Amino acid sequence: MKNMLNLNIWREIKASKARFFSVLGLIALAVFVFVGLKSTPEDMRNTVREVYTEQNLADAKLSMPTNDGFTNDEKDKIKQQKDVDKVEYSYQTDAKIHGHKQALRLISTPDTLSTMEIRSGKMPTQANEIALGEQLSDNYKIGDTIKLTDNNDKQLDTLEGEEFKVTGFVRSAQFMRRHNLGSTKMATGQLDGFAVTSPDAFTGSENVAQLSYNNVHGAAYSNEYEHQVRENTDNMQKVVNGLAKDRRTDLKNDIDKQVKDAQAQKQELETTVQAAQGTPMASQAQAGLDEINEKIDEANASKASIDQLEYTAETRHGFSPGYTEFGGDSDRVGELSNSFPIFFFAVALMVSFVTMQRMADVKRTEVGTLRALGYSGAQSLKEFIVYSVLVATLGTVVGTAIGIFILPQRIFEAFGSNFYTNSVSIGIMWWPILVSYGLALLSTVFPAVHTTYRDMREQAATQMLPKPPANGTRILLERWTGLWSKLSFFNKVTLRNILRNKVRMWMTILGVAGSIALLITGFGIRDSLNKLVPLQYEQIVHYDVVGLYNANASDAERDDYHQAIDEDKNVKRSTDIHMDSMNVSVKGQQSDSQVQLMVPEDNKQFDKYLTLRDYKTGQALDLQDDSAVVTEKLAKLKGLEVGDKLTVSNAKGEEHQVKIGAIAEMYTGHNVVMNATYYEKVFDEKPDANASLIRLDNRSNSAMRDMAEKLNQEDAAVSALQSGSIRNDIDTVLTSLNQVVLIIIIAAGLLAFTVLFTLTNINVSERIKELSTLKVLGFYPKEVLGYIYRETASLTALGILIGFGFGYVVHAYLMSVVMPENTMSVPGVTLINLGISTLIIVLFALIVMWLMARKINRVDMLGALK
Amino acid sequence: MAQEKFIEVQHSSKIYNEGQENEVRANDDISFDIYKGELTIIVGASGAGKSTLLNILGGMDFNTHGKVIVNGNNISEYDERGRTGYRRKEIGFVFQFYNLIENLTAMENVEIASQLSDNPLDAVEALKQVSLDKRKDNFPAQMSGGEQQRVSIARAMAKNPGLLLADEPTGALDYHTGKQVLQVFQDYVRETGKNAIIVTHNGMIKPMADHVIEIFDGKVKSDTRNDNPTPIADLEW
Ligand SMILES: Nc1ncnc2c1ncn2[C@@H]1O[C@H](COP(=O)(O)OP(=O)(O)OP(=O)(O)O)[C@@H](O)[C@H]1O
Ligand SMILES: [Mg+2]
Repeated sequence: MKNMLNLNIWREIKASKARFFSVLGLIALAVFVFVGLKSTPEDMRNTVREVYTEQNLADAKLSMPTNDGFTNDEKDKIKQQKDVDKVEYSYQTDAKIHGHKQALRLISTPDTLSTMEIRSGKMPTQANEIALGEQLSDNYKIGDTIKLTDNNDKQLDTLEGEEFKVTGFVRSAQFMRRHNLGSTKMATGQLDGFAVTSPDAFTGSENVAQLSYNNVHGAAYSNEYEHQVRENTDNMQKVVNGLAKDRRTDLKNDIDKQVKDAQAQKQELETTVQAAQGTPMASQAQAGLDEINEKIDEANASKASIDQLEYTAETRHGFSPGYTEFGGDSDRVGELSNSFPIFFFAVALMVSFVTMQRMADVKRTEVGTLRALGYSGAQSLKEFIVYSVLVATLGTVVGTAIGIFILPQRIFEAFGSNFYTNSVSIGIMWWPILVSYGLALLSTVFPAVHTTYRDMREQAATQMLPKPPANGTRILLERWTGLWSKLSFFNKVTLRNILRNKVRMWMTILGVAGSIALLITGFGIRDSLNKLVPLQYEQIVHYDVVGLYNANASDAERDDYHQAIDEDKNVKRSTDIHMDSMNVSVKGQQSDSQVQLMVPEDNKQFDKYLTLRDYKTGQALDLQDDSAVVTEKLAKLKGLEVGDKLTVSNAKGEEHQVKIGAIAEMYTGHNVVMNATYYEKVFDEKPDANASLIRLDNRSNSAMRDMAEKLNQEDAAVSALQSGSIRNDIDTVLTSLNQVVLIIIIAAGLLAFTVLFTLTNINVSERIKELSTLKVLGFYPKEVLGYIYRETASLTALGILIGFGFGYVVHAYLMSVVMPENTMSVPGVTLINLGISTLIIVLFALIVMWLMARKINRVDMLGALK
Repeated sequence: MAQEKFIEVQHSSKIYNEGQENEVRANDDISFDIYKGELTIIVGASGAGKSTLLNILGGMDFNTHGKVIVNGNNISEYDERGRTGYRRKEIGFVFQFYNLIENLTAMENVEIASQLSDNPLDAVEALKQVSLDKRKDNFPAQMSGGEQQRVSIARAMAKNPGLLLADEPTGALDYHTGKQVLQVFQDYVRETGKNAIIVTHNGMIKPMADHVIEIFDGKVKSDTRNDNPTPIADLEW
């Protein structure tokens, strides 16, 4: 008996290869998407985690802006913090590469924390040797000599020498990104790379500290790890705030003492001058007096710069550009895994339902005979169950294999192209495999059992007879005689045939709708990013360069800075604002969101640089005296509305409350804009202008770089930001998304094909008699095909229309979860997208039609009608 | 009666697996003529080759040897497309198991065929001829076997074909219904002057035909003409 049944199963599979393989294919596709998308983010994270572990990446980094370095007292205090495990000090300075518009961050060879991997050549051992980060490997080679200077091509006071010989190329987890390594005050304001040299190359004392904590557990990016590190680092920031404050007081006291001494000297001299009036002694004393006056002025001026002295404590999110982005990229892939597979499993379930039903219909007499022969219902059920378990198992195996090995590789290639890391490390996560096996079994076994039970309720005797032909039925539409009578004969027939099997009708429609929704979503990711740049840079942001300068610089220095702008021929216009970088903590985010606080000096001119318009109505927004304008994505992240209060904190961790007066449209970056009056109310101080927004005539990337470089050469310069760099970012994202989009599109195409093929194939098989009758009546093959395919075609068309709506919604949802924390998606899909998606579905529908035409032509009409 | 030849079958054979061990001669060197306006009956035992012959005549199958000339055209030279066109324009076919389309009403089943013809009969008119015009909006499942067979005949007739073919049209019907159905064929031939060929294994209905061809083991056993066909009402079997 057992053998008999097994034999039957093989015969069954052989007899219906197309059916078997299309259900298997669908299951495999669904499993592939689910397992693949679930494992990819973990694989991505594991890949970089390996790098972090290999290089022993520090948990946090402390830095101070001058090369005076940490004092021994400070070092002791830091070491004494209870959660600190290890502290290692090193040097760091930014420099311009002489003769190039490039800036790099030079650090001293690390010891055991945040080490580097030498990729070629060797590590530098001498003060005149240097190893460059891979970012610079296109421009320089081993053996080259590079010269590092300040913005005015003079030797840096932080370095002993200026010429370095390149000994090799290194990779560092602190600088994983290929582009956008952060801002600097050197060259164009953007770091182009990093380099490492011997500590002997530096002057002064060590000004950075790499920390590891003793109380952190869990892997990088896990909540456990990130929360603890963040808590520790927040505490550490408070500690170093205290250290910085003491340091400032000490420095100021020193100066005060010097000034006091000088003043005492001054008084002495003054008496001397008075006493010795007219003698040569007097002029000598006068010279001394002038000198001392100058000294006093200088000392007082340096007090202003002492005020600027702050220490910062950063987690990896802060000191390792790329750390956050890599985590974000993998999370984004993870988000896809929550939506796409649902489609695939839903469709797989629907299609295997229809398939099993068809199988049961074909085999009902056989099952009936088995029962009549005395076999129990369970035994006749067995064959169905074995068949469906077989399909589910094979499908899961195939889908898992491709999902685990191919998808992570492809996606990693896409996202990883922005980073220097190892090649993807593939791991096996069991739970998605088990879940999808469960879903696969549900999709096949449930329909099988359901269908056999349905038949089993009949008596064996009736079951042995072929199923009575389904009654022809009138459809509701026929009651509407006015319309019905106007329809052509074939339209009536098509309509009635479509409505005859409503389950199958909905499955075809939903299958097609799902596929096209996937296609639209896939293409839509590109669409939205493509639309973002013009919207943001043609309608909202009108400045090209932000020149940040020191508000405490001397009047002369600031005048020079502004003069440099005013005299530049390429500057169209510029305005001054107060600009502050603030942090906003967001629930569910491991690192704070960065917010630019802007306070215009000239409220009337501001809209020539930044258009503030209501995110809903598009109405221009004015700055009020009692509230600020907040940009859309920030309000959404925080779930805030007009009238609510937003808490922002500065670099020192001091918090302030800002009332939201309006919400403005903005696509990249977060901004809070307020007028001076409100700023004073919130921060209790006047907003000193410290930035110039500059609009250029020639807005090319190179013109922006030139401008930035020029500004950074000024004494007052702090840094310069180019708004164009965000465009490049988006371009990189776009190219890297191509792979993912391609995978989605192929999967969606296959889905559409399998659905259409299976359902049409079953439809044709079931109605082979009807089709043969038509053939005998003298219908040409094309007409027979048309007769039956009209149904598939209309359902496909309907599916496409419904899919448009579906796609729009899924796209909007996906874009909202898939965009980086500081980027707003542009809603809506383009007509081209709809067109191409439709074309792809139509193409697959045509392939199915061609396959069906062959099947219909091969039908033995006489055999079918016997 | 005019003695104009409508069909000439000349040495027609249908041989499966020719030359091989399992060769089957379903039709073996068959020749006969059919005149215009005849009601022809082909009789023979099961497996004799009747259906094979009828299918060849109806352009649903092709012979492997010999000629079949219908209305002056040698249809044995037609390719698949030629045969489809021939079926479409010249043939009306009635099956033993009706083969109505379940999801179409009686009238629609007739219409689907009449669509194909250049000068079709009105669908209601065709149904009237088989006395089913009152049932035109019924679906096949709502009709008895005999009624379904009559719809199937109406469907064949609606094309207004030159040749009406029927394979065992009464096979699934009882005595009375069978008679009713045969009457329709006889009327068609008498009223239109066109041809009809009925295949049957029931020798008792031979008297109603103008022309009886008896097939045995793939060959023509007898070929007789009957100048005084019996009215169907008088037939007994
Ligand atoms: N495809 C085929 N391959 C081989 N032999 C065939 C094929 N089709 C029919 N035959 C054989 O040809 C012979 C004639 O068959 P046909 O169907 O014409 O008989 P018939 O006279 O219509 O019989 P019945 O009254 O039972 O319908 C039979 O012996 C049959 O087995
Ligand atoms: Mg037969």
